[in-house]
Amino acid sequence: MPKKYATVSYAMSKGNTPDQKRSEVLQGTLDLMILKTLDAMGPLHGYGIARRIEQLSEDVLQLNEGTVYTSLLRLQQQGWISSSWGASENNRKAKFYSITKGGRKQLVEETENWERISGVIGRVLRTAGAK
Amino acid sequence: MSRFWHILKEQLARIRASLGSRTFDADFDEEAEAHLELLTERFVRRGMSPDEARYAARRQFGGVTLMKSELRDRSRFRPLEAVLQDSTYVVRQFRKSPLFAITSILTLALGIGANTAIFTLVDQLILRLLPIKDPQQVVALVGQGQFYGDNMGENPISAKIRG
Repeated sequence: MPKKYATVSYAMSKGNTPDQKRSEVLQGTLDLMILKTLDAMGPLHGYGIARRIEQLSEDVLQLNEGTVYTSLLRLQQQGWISSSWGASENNRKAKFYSITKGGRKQLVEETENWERISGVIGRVLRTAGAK
Repeated sequence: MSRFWHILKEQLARIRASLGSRTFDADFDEEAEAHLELLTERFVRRGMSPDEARYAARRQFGGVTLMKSELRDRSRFRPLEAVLQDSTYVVRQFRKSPLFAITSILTLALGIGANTAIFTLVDQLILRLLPIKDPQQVVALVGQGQFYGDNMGENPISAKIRG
């Protein structure tokens, strides 16, 4: 067994889910998704990140888009992303976020972590259902 | 261990933010406004009326005010800011009325000085052992019983000691 522990806590985010088929975004997972998005797409502002996640999740995930900014702050405090001001599509001032070197390293670690944990949970759920 | 490291990093980032002059509130106000505007435009393109679109955008974003206060709390180290704010306020007030400043500083200085002086005296006389040989053998004599008048020289105990 790998002896490294998960550094991301997968706590449920606040907010209600009116539609049963849409799942709430797990908080730690949002950090991970944002890191991945910035890694794949290059610098983006908060709105762009929200659109990208919405597009990829095919409307399965319900996201209070304001929580993206909580995540962005957390990631910035850890030094995994950096920000600079630029102009948005509608020519407003917007803050663009980009992933740092430390962020890429964290992304690799967290991705492994995530795959390990979801693999275990998936296995447990399958065994329980086979009875 | 890495969890501890993350918490430490977060706190350091918060202290740095508190010491810096950039106002996070204004930054986030602008970000949130731009975000809401882009969302509204998107809903309008999908055929909503501007009012509807604005409402839908707010709903999709979540509570802006709550988010603002949460981000403000998370982004900075508030106690440090409070102390810094109070100190600059004090300095400003003193500059504004120097006479009041001098009076209050003198009052405090005299108060502290007088207290120290009296405490030094009490400390030497009562709290510490007397500066004599074998201080633990010194006894205090207290008279008990009935005495009349104020002629203490005549009291029976001192008469007895004198022999």
